[in-house]
Amino acid sequence: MNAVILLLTPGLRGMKNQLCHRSASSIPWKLFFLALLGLCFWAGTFWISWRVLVYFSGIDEIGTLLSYKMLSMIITVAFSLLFISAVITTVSRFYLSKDLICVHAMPVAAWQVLLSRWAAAYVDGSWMVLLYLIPVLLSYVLVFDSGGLTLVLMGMAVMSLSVTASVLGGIFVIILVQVIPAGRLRSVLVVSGVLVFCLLYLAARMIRPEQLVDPEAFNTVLLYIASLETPSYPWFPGTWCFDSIQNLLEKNTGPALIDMALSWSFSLVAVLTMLLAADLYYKKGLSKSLGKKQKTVKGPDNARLMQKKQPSLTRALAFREIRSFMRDQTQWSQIFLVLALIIIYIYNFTLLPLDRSPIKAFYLQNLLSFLNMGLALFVLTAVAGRFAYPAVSMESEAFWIIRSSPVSLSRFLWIKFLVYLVPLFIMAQVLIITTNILLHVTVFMMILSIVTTALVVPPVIALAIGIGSIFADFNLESPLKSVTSFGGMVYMTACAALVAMIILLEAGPVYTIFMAGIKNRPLAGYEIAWSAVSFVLVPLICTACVIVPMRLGARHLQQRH
Amino acid sequence: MISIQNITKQYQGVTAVKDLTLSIPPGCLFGFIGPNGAGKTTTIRILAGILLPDAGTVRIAGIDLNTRPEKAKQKIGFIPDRPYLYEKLTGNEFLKFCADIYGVGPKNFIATRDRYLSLFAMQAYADHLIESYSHGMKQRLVMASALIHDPAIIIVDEPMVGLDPAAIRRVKKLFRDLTDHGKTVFMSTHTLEIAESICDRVAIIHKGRILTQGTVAELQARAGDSHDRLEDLFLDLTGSGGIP
Repeated sequence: MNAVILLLTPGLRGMKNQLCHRSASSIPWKLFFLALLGLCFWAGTFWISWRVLVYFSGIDEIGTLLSYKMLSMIITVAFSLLFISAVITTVSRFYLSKDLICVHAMPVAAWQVLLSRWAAAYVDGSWMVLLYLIPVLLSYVLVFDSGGLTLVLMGMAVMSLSVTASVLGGIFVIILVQVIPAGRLRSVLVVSGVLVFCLLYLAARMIRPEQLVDPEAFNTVLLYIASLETPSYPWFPGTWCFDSIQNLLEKNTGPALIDMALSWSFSLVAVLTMLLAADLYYKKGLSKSLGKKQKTVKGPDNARLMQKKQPSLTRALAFREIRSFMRDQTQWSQIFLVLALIIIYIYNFTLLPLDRSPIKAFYLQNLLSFLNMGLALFVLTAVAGRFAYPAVSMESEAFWIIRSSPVSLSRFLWIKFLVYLVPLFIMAQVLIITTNILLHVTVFMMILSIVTTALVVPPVIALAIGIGSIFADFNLESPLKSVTSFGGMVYMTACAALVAMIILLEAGPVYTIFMAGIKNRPLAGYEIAWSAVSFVLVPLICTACVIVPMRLGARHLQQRH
Repeated sequence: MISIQNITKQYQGVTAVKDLTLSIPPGCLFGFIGPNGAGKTTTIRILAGILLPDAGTVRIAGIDLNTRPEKAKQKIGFIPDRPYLYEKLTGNEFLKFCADIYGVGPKNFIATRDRYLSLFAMQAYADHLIESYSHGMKQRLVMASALIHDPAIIIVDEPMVGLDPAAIRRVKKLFRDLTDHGKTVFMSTHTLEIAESICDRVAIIHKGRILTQGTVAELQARAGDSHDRLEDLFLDLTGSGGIP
């Protein structure tokens, strides 16, 4: 067992060193910012679940049943998430980590290596789900008034669930790697996982959960849910966890402990089974994964190359960027997610009950159009954060090629800017035009939305590329995750500030123009001046937000060691 | 061909290169040797235009690298010590990309590409993704890409790392051929036998300063009878010869 702990120490020491060896001035701010953001999410989760439970507890007869149904759903979803996350992290930890060759050359038994790898994968894949289950469980404890000790026991039940999910994920991977090499398996799992998620996401939206808050449909929907007396599966680990928590909430500690013992004994048996499976298959799968498969991509032959004109520098860099992007399967999973997001976004607008609103349709349509502009630009910010922000970090250690070539860093960044500008510009305009058509907005609002979006897309991309350059990390194993770093948050904050500023600058004059139109009166002199200044400021701010971050990004890259 | 005037580079207060001055004529194969951490890679990266010096100037074929970097880099073929490449491109696509960046026309590209793919025994792998290459194959591809635009100056950091004996022999011959045709090669290396056997001139750097420079024969003559091999001189000068 000592060897297992010893194998975990480099990772732990690495984390400690990363925290301690940073410059004293930068780390507290970053930590504070991250902790604050995490706390906000945590508090938000608690508030939402507490509100829903209080709401349910006020419903006669079926209130408690609904609370338990929600708990059962949360546990099932948590188990699924833990399992999927375990599968993805164990593929990396068991078969793809850079230190594997070094670790396997050590005089340590294979099962010890695997157990240490699994422990690391368990922490990687579970911490976030477990962290966000705490506020949900806390809200149950408070609403059911079942005492503080219950929360501790609930935590143990959930821990057992997470261990089981992680071990089952590990066994699944060990078996699957016998058929598909680990490198390809990770891509297959990520893409198929995202596809399933997209389908579930779309399906969940299409069943129209908003009917739950529609007074006309409320009773029918609730009675339908209550009537779903689906039997729980006695062999499903989630059932043991749910039974245990339900008994704890009802203060039946004895049966709760029996359920928990059942759950933990299964977890331990699962760990032993994983070690047995590893003994039989792990080394075989590892050997298969370490071998490289040759992938051939035939380019144009000499005759065709001769006929082609020499491409410009811009085209050469753009082609290389697009080609690398398209061949990276992890990017495809992100594209599927974005497509699902866009479909849901547009679908939501088809369901808006504009005709039943007590507010005048004319006001509402234009008000919604304004809100829509903000929301669409926020979607754009998120998508640009996922694709354009990591674009410079994606160069990784091959950045020396650009640095030593006769291309200025400024030009290199502008080419990246153009590559991401075109698709994101189209996406933003499709979102705005389609939703505005569904809202039946006035021609003025349609033109204003199109022009504003056209003005805001370039600065958002420039902020992504520029701030992405300032905070570029060429040593990241997965640059796509860089948007969740401190730099990513700076980018998101800067974009949110920009969008808010533009919307605020436009909202006042637009309202004044509308009111003047409705009241059929001419605009006063100061109103014209105010509108003119606002509408002039918008393009000026947008232009500045394109030039400044791009220049700063190029300067930072130039000064990097 | 390469003129380095008083360059200095510091990293967070630590001086990597101090007041370094060198002049390398055309057609010279220049060996740059020194122990680990002596400042070789920093100098090489400054010469390749990757790092900016804190002070001093570098002129490449008469062009100031600091004020006209793109023009100067056009003259250089750079081969780094670790061949990190675009993993999702094929070898062929990578060479084409480099050719386009350096403005090599299709006709010249095909001829040069075929010549170097053949020289480095890479034809069979040209359409494979780079992610499937071994370290040695990547190193050979980097060399081919650095030569694709027929540069006047080749700057190369530890060229023989990861190469098999046949490839080492080919690279040594290639560098000699290039210098015979008027090209300049600036090569940093740890392998003193290679420096001794192929370099026209050698400089020894230690703690960011040039300790001595000249032809191998000159250095040996300067050091006296006890130093009949470059290795002895190197160990003596850098103070790393004491084996316990």
